[in-house]
This record gives sequence, structure tokens and C-alpha cells, in this order.
Amino acid sequence: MDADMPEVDLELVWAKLCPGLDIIFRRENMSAKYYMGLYSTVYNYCTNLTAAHVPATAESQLQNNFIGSDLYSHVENYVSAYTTALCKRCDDLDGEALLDFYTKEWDSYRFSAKVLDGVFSYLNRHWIRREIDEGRKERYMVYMLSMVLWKRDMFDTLEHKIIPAMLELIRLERTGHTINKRFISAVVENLVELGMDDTVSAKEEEAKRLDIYKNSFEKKFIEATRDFYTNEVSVFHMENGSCTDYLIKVETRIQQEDNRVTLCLHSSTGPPLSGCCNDVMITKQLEFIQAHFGRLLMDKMDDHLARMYRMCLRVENGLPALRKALKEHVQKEGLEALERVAAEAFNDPKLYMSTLLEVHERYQGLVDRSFSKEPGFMKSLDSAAIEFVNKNAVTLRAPPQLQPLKSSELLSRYCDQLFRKSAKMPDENEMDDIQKKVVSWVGIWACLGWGALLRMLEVTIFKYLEDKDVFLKFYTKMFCKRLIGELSASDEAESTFIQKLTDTCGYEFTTRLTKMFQDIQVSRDLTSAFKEKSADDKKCAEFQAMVLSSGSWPNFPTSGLKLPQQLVVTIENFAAHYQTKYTGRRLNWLYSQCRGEVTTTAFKGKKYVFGVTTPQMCTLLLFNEQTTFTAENIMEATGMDGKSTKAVVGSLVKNQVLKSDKALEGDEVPLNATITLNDGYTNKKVRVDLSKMTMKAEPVKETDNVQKGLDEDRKNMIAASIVRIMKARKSLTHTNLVTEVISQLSGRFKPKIEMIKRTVGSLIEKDYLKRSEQQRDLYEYVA
Amino acid sequence: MAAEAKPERNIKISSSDNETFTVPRNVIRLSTTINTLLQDLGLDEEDAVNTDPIPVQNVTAPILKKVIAWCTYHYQDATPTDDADNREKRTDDIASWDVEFLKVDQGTLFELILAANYLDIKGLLDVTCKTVANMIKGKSPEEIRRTFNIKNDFTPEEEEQIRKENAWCED
Repeated sequence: MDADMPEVDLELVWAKLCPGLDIIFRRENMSAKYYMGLYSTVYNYCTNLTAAHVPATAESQLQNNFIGSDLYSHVENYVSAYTTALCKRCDDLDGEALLDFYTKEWDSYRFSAKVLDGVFSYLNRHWIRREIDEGRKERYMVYMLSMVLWKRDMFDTLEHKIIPAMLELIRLERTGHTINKRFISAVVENLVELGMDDTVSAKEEEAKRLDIYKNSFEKKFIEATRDFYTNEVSVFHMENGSCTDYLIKVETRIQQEDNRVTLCLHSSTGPPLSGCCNDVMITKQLEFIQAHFGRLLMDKMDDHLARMYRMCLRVENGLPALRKALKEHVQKEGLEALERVAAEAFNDPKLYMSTLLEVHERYQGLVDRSFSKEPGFMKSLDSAAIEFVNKNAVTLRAPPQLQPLKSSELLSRYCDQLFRKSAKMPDENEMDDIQKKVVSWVGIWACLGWGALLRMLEVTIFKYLEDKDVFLKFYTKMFCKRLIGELSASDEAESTFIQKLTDTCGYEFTTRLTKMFQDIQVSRDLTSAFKEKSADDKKCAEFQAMVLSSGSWPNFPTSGLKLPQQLVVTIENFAAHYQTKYTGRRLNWLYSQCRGEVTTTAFKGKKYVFGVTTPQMCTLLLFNEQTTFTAENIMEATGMDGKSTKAVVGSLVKNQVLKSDKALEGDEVPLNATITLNDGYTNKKVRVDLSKMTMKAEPVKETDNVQKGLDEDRKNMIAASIVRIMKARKSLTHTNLVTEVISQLSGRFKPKIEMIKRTVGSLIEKDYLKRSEQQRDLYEYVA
Repeated sequence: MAAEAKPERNIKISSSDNETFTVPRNVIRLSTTINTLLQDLGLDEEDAVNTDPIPVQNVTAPILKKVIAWCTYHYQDATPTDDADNREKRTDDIASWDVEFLKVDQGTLFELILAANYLDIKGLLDVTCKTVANMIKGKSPEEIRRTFNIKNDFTPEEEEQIRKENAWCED
């Protein structure tokens, strides 16, 4: 062997390396040249071994291993001596001083280990790599070897002092002291790094990496946390702390622990730590916390409610009790609010609705703001609202059979009020007042916007009505009246609302309303075309017609009436005009629904404009001819039946336009009375509406009508639904059929089981269904 | 781009025969040995005084020059992932530039291998070794001996013995 190829003598090699390691472990400056020298020494030692002694025999393999292992154990011994000496210096250290020493030394040590690893990288790459690949135990890359030795000589020996020192520091911080967080986080980093193991696959390492951290520290830390907070909670109760204070305290504590994880601990500790906190401070105290929910609701302490919600959200089964309590509370509030106004609200839809809305809005706001719109709470609110909207002190005031209708009736009347023009005809003195009112109404509408108003109606109350069909019936009636009477404040608002109803309940629900609305639009165009055509025809009175398609509109009573000549001409002209547009259609004139205006100067020369119904108009026009008639004369002249005559003339007498020589019987005039024009009539208004007098006292009757029609309609809907279902399913048990019917119809109303049973019975009679012969409760569809 | 505006840092390295080369930091990165050294000694820090060249004791100037040329061509290659390690090893995937680059005499080729090993340049070690493997592939023992100028030190008996033992791989 020549002089250029030395360095196979390990002791010589080691003598060269050792001063280098000393420098590395003293963290002294090292030149690149010196570093390369160390690296090359290791390189040459390893390569020369193989290059110089390579007879290709089995022994060489052994020898190679043996000598690589020599260098390896020299390194191991060197590092171990270092760590052992370091450990000795910890003998007298405790608590913070120990942590300080340990973490500082650790930082330096890591650095040294890194450089050491670089210098020995050739050994790593060849000899150690092969050893590991061959599955040899206790062989590590040089850096890892340093970690293993640190754990063995430092951590394992000091663990019993280090971990309690950390826990004590954390305890101090929890009791309000300021600590050096670095002591905690550095040891945590240390423990995580000591868990490294590069001899196993990445996946295995991932799983085991945190073992040391978890076993040595986390377990004990969680235990200490549990003890600490268990104690804190019991002290809190001993001092009789209030629930709101408790909520604040817990929230603060949980925030602090979250911060601790972020700042000092390994992120994997987050879940077990918050689990522990939740358990001790929330789950175990759930009864205490939830017991105060009702109180907070009553006191409207929304912030605390929000806090309680957030607390209970953290634990399993924290919310159901709150949801239940919320439902009960809202229901109670709703019922009480209506109880307070029951007497007035019974006939005041606006008060009724605003009371409902107020309660609902208050709690919708609470759920939105404090409970983050959590679906469970939404549901509580909904079910509470369903309860108090459909059955409350106001509805209970109605006669028993009408109770289920009351809420629908009030809602539809409320809509009617909203959509109706202010019907009052203002005179000079009242003008101011009315204007103010109108302005304030318009103001409200403008503020909310129609959309908002509709939404309020639709989402808040309409969706809670169980019997939407009842609402529809009332609504249709009033809608009809608004259209015919031209009382709608805004077409746009009407059609938007219909659209909303369609969105909520389906197209079918509103076809009739839509059709009615269209009729009016078409009529308007028709009338204006007619007006243009007959503009120069002086014989036509100013005139507007509404053509209503039969079927879409409610049935109106037809009455015989002889029109005065002026009107007859106009009507015939219009009929002719209509025929040119729609041949083959027949027009029926519904005089009972018509209105008109007559201008008169008959009373002391003052000019009055009377708003009148057509029968009233016919009657009044008679007095152009002469000023005295008997009621019977009027009946003949106008062609009305006796009952109508009595009522129509009666209404004019009551308005003092006419005089009767006989007293009125109720609102009616006896047929044998003599009627004269009342010359002395005065009214400070110029425009007087006489038509309204005949319409009084109708709402009660309406409710009755609705009730009557309703049962019939419902039976038909149930029957239709049963047939639809059975046609699709062919056979179905009784229970399933009932469930399906209810779910199909729930958008409209809540069918009574009794009614379904009866309908099934009648369908069996009519041979739509039959009972199965094998199974009594099974129905079969008969095709 | 701000990152590129920064002047490229250069590293000085010197060969065993004391010739100094100046190499961009990014290029010399391919040598894990030098790269680790720079990191370990904190020579990557802004204020590091970088005076003495890093001695590459085991490599002569002509070879070091070749090595630097290879690194300069390849420094922007994507670093091979771990997956690449487990892929089936093949010897026919040498890039054409590398093939040209390695058209050198055998002595140079072997010195390049040693240098790549010493400097821990994985890519270079791979292609050089593959090149040698290709020189062996498909050749008879006699041809291989000729190629690499190896003296046959087996006795005919020994040779017969080995041939028998390895009959399975000769078809």
C-alpha cells in the first residue's frame, strides 16, 4: 500500500476526526476547508477500505461491515459521552431552570447533530444505508442516531422532572401568571422531533411519530387540565357564581386553551384538549347551564343567549333541550301577546297581524343573530309559530266550528286592507287628516318596499297557516271585490302577491286568481277600444265594462232590471262591439255588481255627485220624470223583485236622498209606502257614496259561506288525491294511504283522518277502490 | 421579477490541483456534499464572508470542469421524486445531450463516476453508471475483458466451474 492511499487505520482516522467533532459540539466556527477535510477523511476511509481490500470473497463483506461498524460505534460513543455529560449537569436543576437549560442545550445539540450528519454523510449514504436496508436493528443515520442518544441519555433520564415542570408552568399561566411560553413550545418541539424514525416507511413514521409526545406529555397534560377545571368549576359553584358569569368564564377559558394549542403545543392536541374542556365545563354542567336559558329569554339577554348557544353547540346533545325550551317560550309569548289584544284583534286584522308579526320578528331576529340561524332553532320557531298562529285567544273567541278559519280570515282581511285604496271620499276638512294618513301609509310601504311587505306576509304568517285553502277562499272573495270595485291600490302589488302565492303553494293553487286578474286587464283594453270607437256618439254614457269569464269568478246573483234608455243604448253598442271581437260568446249583465255615478242639481241648486249601484241609479233616474212614486210603482218601472226594491229604496231613504211616508222596517221600505224626493237634502261633501250602505253586515255571512263550501271542496280534493295515489300504487295499506294523502295535501290544509276514512268509504261504494280479499286493511285500485 | 433581480451568488471551489472555479450557487446545489456544507456552515446567509474556495480534494481540474459543465446544463431539471427511485431501472433512457457529453475516454468516465460519488451528485452518478452498464450489456466475458482491459486471472478449471454455476443466465 502506498503513501497516497493511507487512512485505513481507524485509530489514525479517528485521531483526525475527533478534534473536528470537538469543534462541532462546541459550536465553534469551522472553515469550508476544514469541513471538506473531515468529509474527505470519512470518504477516503470508506472508499479505500473497499478499493484496497477487495478480493471478491465472502470474508470481505464481513470485514467491510466490521470496519464500517467500527467507525459507526466510534461516533456513537463520542455522542453518547457528550449527552451523558450533559445530563449530569442537570442533576441540580429543577423547574424553570431545568427547562431553560434543557431547551437551550437542545437547540445547540440539534445544530451540532446536523453538521455531524453532513460530515458523515458518506457513511450515511453507503454503509449505514445498507445496514438499514438489510433490516439491521439499532442502526440509524447519524442525525437520527444523535436523536436516539439524546432521548436515551437526556430525556428518558430527565422526563420525571421535565414534564412536571412543564405542567406547573401551564398551571401558573392558568392562574394568571406570565410565563415564558418558549419553555413549553421548545420541549414540545423536542418531543415531536425525538419521535422521528427514518428506518421505517413514511406512513409508519407518520403514525408513530407523535408517540413520545402523546405518551410522555399529552396524556399527563390532559389529566392535569381535567383536574384543574374540575376544581375551578366546583369552586365557582361554592361561591354561588351566576350562570352568565359562568358562560363568560367558560368562553374565556376555552379561548385561552385554543390559544395555548396554537402558541405552545402540537396542533394534534387541539381535539383532545377541547374535548376535555367541553366535558368538564359544559357536558358535566349542562343542566346548570340550560336551566338558565328560559330566564335569559325572558330578560332578552341576547348576547348571553348567543354565548350559551355557542357553548352547547360544542357538546353532544347540548342543543335539543334549548330548542325545546325556545319553542315553548315562543309559543307562550305568542299566545300571551294575542291574549292581551284578543278583544280588539278579533275584528282588527291589522292589530292581529302586527301582534303576530311582532312576536315572530323578535324571535326570528334572535335566531338569526344569536343562534346563527341554526336549523333546529328555526324549526322550534316555526313549530311554535304554527301553534300560536292557528290556535290562540283570538281564534278561540270565534264560534267552535269557525275557530279553525279565524286566522285565515284575519290574514285575508289584512291583505284586503293593504291592497285596497283608501276608500274614504275626503271633504275639505278631512283632507289634511287623510293626506297625513295616506302619506304615512305610503311612507310605510315605501320604507318596507312592496317586496319586503309581501315577504313578511308570506314567510312569516302564511307559511304557518295549517289550512291554506281557507285563506284562499277568503282571499278570492275579497280579491274579487277589490277587482270589481276597482279598489286595488296597485295592480303591480296584486300580481306580485299572486306570484308569491304561486311560489309557495303551486300553480294550481292560484290559477283562479290569475284568471280573474287577466279578465280585468283584458276588459280594460276592451273598454278603451270601445271608448275610442264611440267617442262622438253623444247618446252613450261614459261607461266601463268588465267581462268576467264564468267559472273563474264566484257566482253572482242575477236580477231582473229594466235599464233606463240612456244606458240601454250604451250597453247594446258595447255588446255589438264585443261581438266583433269575440264571436259566439254570450254576455250576461250582472247588474247587481255594477256601479255608477249620477250628477244632480236637484237639491237647492247645489251640485252633488252620487256614487250608486245600478239598481239605485235606475231608481234615482225615475225621479227625473216626477218627484213622487209609490214603492210599487218603482218596482214596476225598474223591473226589480219586491225584496230588492225594498232594500234599494230603503238604502236611498236611509241616506235621506228620498223620503218615505212609512217608517222603515229594518233597512227596508214597505212596498205600499209613498216615496218622494227629499228637497231638503244637504251634505257638506260634494261626492257622496250611497252604494256602500247596502253592503254592510256581510263579513259574518261570508264566514258562514266559506265554511259551507269548504267541507265540500276538501272532500273533493281528498277524493282526487286518493284516486291519484291509488292509480299510481295499485294497492296500498290503509295507514300508508292516509300518510300519503296527508303529505300530498299538506300544502293546502291538514286533512282530518276521519274525513279521509269517509272519503275512502264513498270511493269504495263508487267502485274506484276495493278492499283486498286476503288482507282487510289493504286497498286495491279498480281500473 | 424581484427574485431574479438579486445578483446570482457565486461559490468558489478549487480542485485537488488548486485550480479555482466560480460556480453559481444554484448550479452547485446539485452537489449534495457542497450544498450540505454551505448550509451547515451557514455560508448561505446574507452576511456570510465567502473568501476561501471550498477545496474539492479528490477531484482534478479537468474532471471538475466537466462536472461543473454537467451541472450547469442540468441545474434547472426537476428534482427527481422518491417515486423515481422505485421505478424500474433502465439504461436506455439517457438524454441525448448526456450521451454526447459522455463520449469520453474510459479513464475520464471512471473519474467522473468517482467525482459524482464524492460530491454526491445523484443525476450524474446515474448517467455515468448507466453508460458503463451499456458498455457491458450484450458482451461476452472475453469482450468485456477487452473493453475494460482486464486480465483474466481465472484458471481454465475455475472458469469452467463458474460457467457451470451460471449456466442459467446464459440461455
